[in-house]
Amino acid sequence: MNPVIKLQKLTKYYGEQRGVLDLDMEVMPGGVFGYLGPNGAGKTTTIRLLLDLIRPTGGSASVLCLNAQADSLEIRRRIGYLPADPALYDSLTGKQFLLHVASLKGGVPWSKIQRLADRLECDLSRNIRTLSHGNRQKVAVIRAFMHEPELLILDEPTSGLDPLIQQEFELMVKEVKADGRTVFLSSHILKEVEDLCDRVAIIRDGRLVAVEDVAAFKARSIRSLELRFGHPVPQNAFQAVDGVRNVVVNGAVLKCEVVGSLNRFIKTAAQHEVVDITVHEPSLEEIFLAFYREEDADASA
Amino acid sequence: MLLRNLFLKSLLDHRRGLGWWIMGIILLCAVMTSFYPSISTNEAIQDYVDAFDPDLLALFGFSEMTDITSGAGYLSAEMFSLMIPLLLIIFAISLGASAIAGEEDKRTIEILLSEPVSRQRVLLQKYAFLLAASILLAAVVWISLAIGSPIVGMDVSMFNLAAAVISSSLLGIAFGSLAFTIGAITGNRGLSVGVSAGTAVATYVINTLASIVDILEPAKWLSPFFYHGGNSPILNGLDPLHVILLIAVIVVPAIASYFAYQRRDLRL
Repeated sequence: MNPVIKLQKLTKYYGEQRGVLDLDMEVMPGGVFGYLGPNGAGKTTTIRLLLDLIRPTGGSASVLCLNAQADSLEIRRRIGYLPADPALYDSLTGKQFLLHVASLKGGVPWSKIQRLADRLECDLSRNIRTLSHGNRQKVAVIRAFMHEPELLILDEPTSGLDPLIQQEFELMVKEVKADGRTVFLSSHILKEVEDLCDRVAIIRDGRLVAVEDVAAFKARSIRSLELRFGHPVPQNAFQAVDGVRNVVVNGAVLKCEVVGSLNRFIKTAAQHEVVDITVHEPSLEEIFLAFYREEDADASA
Repeated sequence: MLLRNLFLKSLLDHRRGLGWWIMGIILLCAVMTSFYPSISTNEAIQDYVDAFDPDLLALFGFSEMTDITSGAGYLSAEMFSLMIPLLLIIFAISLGASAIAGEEDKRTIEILLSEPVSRQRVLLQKYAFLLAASILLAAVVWISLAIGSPIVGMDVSMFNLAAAVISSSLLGIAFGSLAFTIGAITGNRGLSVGVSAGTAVATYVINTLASIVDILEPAKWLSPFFYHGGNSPILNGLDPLHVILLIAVIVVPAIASYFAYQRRDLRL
């Protein structure tokens, strides 16, 4: 199988300013590929390079086995793109806008557009100028999905969507995956990527930090926990458990970090009377730090 | 239906503005022609004009030869030396600057160019709309004056009237084309309006100074305003050389925009 997206030493500078550096990456067809990184890491830059909206300083990119620059028109015909914070034509209604982009795509049956609008509860009769951020986002989502493209490139897709609509959106992404089509989804929210994606690439400061399966990624993820017990607990009972670190016991309250599976830690904790348990999802920063620690460890070894 | 392609979408976007411009032009032509009888029957006016220093008159677009009491002279002095070209230039610059750079200012270009539409096609269809709208507005000038002038007894050749309108229209399109090109090269609408309008003012001043100061006389060839008014088309018809030069001033930036827009990063 050929990759649907292939980056080779892809580099972009905006003058002196760094965009992305030496990206090497392959996205295989089928499934949802997450592109995770904090704001300003270079996610949107990468995506704009794929769409030939900006040109690389070095290296190359191919999409659907086509050259991102030379064959851009053919690529754009076959993908669906949702920009981050999209600017739509304010003077048009949702319906006019979608009819316009449908004709630019060479025609999309109205029934398909209407069905998506119904699913997302999007009122297409209103002027785009009068729509809230979330409702504009819905129109942009419909635009990306309406022609059932082979590859969907979604840049921060859920920003502004309310939770119910977000669920419907996640369902739509899962349907695309079930169809055997591919989704490339950028996000700075770890949970979104964990929930939706099969594989994930992590980008930071314009460089690719890691590419791996979400399952493997989860296995290494760190959670910080806070437990309250019915009585004071001994600190060393927890320090001895595999994968548990930074244990701090203060009377009946225990704080610690657990790497990977929680299984052994929970079993240990269950020997005592657990009153309350709070799990903090690791922030992106913590995950990056974990990666860096590992890299440092590898380097010193 | 109006949304099938970018040309028609431009028409939809600009329908109101275009409507106002057309009404304004008709009104202006009606008012200016309706003043003519009070001038043609008043010989004192010509004496008054003749009493001015010719250099001063040149500043206001009167040439020494102009007989303001004749229909053609009146239209030349009041309409075609400055008023009509100025309006057509303003119209074309604002349209040209917003065509490409406007989409980048509003960031809608990211939507447009992530559709299967080539940059050339965007450029061509938007340029075609700039031409069509400018020509439409010029046609409104011609029709308004062609209808109005006989009513007030202006003796004007329809042929020369068309020549004056065509020449004004080409002048307007020249600056619109410049604005379009600066917009396509930089993606910056404000810069495009500023540079084009500045160029229009500067070349107008050059042409006027060239007609007053003998030593600057050859500088008139630097100014598209000379190609437009140098031959007074409403009195003498079109000068082929001037028309060719005007067309060159239109075409050269348009070609530059074609190449520049292909190469650069969009401003997103």
